[in-house]
Amino acid sequence: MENRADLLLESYFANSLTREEANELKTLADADPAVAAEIKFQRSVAASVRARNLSGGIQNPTWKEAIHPPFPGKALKVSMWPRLAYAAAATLALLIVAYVFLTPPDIQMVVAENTRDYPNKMAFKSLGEEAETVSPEVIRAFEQYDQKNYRAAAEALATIVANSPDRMDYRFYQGVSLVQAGQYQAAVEALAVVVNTQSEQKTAAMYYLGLACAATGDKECAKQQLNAYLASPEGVTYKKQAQTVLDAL
Amino acid sequence: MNGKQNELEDFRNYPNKVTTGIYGKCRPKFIGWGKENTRTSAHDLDDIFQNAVIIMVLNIESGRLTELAGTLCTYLFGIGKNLIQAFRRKQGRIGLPGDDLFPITKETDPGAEAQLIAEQEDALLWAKVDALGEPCRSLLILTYREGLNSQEIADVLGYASPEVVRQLRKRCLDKLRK
Repeated sequence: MENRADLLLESYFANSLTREEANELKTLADADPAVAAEIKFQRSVAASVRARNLSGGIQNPTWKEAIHPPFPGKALKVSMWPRLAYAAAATLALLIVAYVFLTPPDIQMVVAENTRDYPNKMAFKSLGEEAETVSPEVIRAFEQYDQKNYRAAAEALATIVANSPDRMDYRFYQGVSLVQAGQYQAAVEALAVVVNTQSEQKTAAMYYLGLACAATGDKECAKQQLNAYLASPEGVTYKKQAQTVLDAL
Repeated sequence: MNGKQNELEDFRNYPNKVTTGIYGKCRPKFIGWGKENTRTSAHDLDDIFQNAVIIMVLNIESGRLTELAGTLCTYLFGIGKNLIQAFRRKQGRIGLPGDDLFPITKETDPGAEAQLIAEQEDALLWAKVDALGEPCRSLLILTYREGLNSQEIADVLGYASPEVVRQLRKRCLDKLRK
């Protein structure tokens, strides 16, 4: 393959191809089967690395363990200790009041308090993925999702998932919507499929499935999923929430 | 040995202590900076920072990072900036000219069986990538998953030039073809 095609292909995978360059690459691919074959091969490589992470390349087990991020705020500056002492005293007082006046919160309350939004990343095309034209139904479903109309989003996504059962990304957002809408049993059914795949959303799905399992009273499932999320190097964003729910189980 | 090199030595001897410092002090700075200067969400910056830490460890392990020009935090910022740059290009990919010329869509809905076959092919190819080990593994993930160009990969992995990265990637791909 000519060097020019190599450079254009690099730009393609780095998402910096201009329209003129795209035309040029297409012309090269049409004219030279070797270029077309190279594009196909590199796309297959892109598809194979899509759901993988960099941390698997670290050989030293101690170092691999050390890069599990602690909870935000776990590493405190020395100068923060006085403030921490005040906060601890206030927390203790609050706990005493809560102990006296309140009954312990039920697990669904803990789940609700520790459910966080998941941003809509559908617009971000990963390399090697399909540059597809989505249907108006999909657009509308994700508009509902973006507006946090989770019940409507879940309903719209249910139809879309039924029509595209292999699309784990749709199924994931359906599961998140169901968790946000408090429809936990349905969320378990949607997300249980996603965590058993190598989809990009697998790790986040563990967190949401853990929440849904906890809310339905399936403690074993909840512990398994939340622990798996915490053990994953990619399980960063919801670490604090996952641990809080685990502690409440 | 100066203080900066001590940070590397400390990491080798007390990795947990050093990473606790990194996550406690450097990560909030990075996320704050990223939110202020790039239109990237804290959620995504969190992921990007984590990738920067992993790359730092890979570089130490491979021997590519033996000296620091600044602190470890400065070093992580350098990696993170390249990752943000690639991430933002990826975000903007929709609507970029070129996609319509290279539709990678499945021709039709492939159905469950075809999907299963595709997943098996991906898994087989990944097993070959994984078996290549470092640096091919990281280089291919950075190229095809994170969308870094050769200059950015040279910067984050500590290679002399983008040309070195291109040659290395070519060798990795050639091994995969066998």
